[in-house]
Amino acid sequence: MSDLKLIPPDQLTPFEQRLLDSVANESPSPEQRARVRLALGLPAVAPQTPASPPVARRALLLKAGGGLALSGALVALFLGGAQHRPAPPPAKSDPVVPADSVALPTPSLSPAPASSTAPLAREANEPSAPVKRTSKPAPADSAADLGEQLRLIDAARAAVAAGNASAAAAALSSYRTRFPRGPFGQEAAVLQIKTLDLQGNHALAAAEARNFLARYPNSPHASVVRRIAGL
Amino acid sequence: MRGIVQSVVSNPSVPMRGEASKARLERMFTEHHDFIWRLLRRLGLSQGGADDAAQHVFLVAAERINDIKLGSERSYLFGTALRVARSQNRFDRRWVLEEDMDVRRGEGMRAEERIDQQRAVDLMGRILEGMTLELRTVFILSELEGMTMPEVAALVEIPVGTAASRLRRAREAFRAAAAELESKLNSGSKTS
Repeated sequence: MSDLKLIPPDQLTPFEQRLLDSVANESPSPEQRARVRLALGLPAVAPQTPASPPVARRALLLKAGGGLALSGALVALFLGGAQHRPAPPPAKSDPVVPADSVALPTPSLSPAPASSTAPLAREANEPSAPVKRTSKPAPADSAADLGEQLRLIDAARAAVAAGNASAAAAALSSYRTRFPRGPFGQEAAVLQIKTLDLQGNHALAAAEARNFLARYPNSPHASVVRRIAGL
Repeated sequence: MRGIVQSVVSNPSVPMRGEASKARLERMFTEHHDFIWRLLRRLGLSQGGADDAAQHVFLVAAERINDIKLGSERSYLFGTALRVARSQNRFDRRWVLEEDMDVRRGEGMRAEERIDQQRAVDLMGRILEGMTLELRTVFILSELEGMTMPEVAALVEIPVGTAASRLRRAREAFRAAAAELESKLNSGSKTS
């Protein structure tokens, strides 16, 4: 089944390699991970820099293949070197540990079967290795900020759930003042609408809900906002 | 959808979920969120679109957590992501290349030297968009996610032979499209 493995790097033109590498390096932002965790009601953990970035399968292929000298040099040249350096091998056998899950209390993850060795040696039935090659470490400040933002949003959410509109409004006001361009703007807006509704200010809540829908028509929160807007 | 969204926005502990379900959801998020996000990106969504769609996928999974067969989590998320991407793609266009392909021009530079990262991502997106969804999906899972053929076949729920055949055709499409783009870029350089 050798013909079914990745296109060997020595068969790729530099241009093809460049194209494949470009999308292999994409990954969701720490804010995105935090947002989904928040929406799912999972513990809000500030993203941390992973101890050992995952190894990219294609990057390892480059290293393992004879084409490393040529292809690797080209890739490094095109991308400015450091950004595209193959990551060091992970210390543990489980390579897929998102940054924001490092400090989770007890995720009780079953350890992934060994896949930190070069993918070329991987058996057909082994689980696949992760694709990401690089992981941009989040600056300490932004991680702390993110934690604080999550704390405020969580506080507002808990207050709404408890029917405490004034506490929710205070938390949301603090959030907006301190993080006017924070990544949880949508969540704050939804909670604001809920707070207005809770305060009995249904007309304003509906108006805010309609504004929200105009601004974020495809938001995952659209259905609940639509209900408040009476749509 | 309404129930879960409402409850998660207003209440951190979603009432329908016990601790076991929550732990399972945690594992699903930890193990598959990034994969789902990358998949959505490669299926043509913008970064913002992929953010929203990934959240949507996991909210749906949270709502149906008790219906998802143990061991089928990735498969469930994958199928949901495909559906969400199809629906979201109608509103969210990721690839916005101009026809004249505005790249850095320079005499004597090869095509791969004249495109920056974002442009390379866009070009790759254009190539993926030119494939049928069946070919694109197999290509993404195999060439970009590094999955083996049995894994791809299991996830897409097709025979291994079919997956292999699709991959061959997808590779041909990729190489043909890349060659065409490269030639276009090189001819642009000569005429500049």
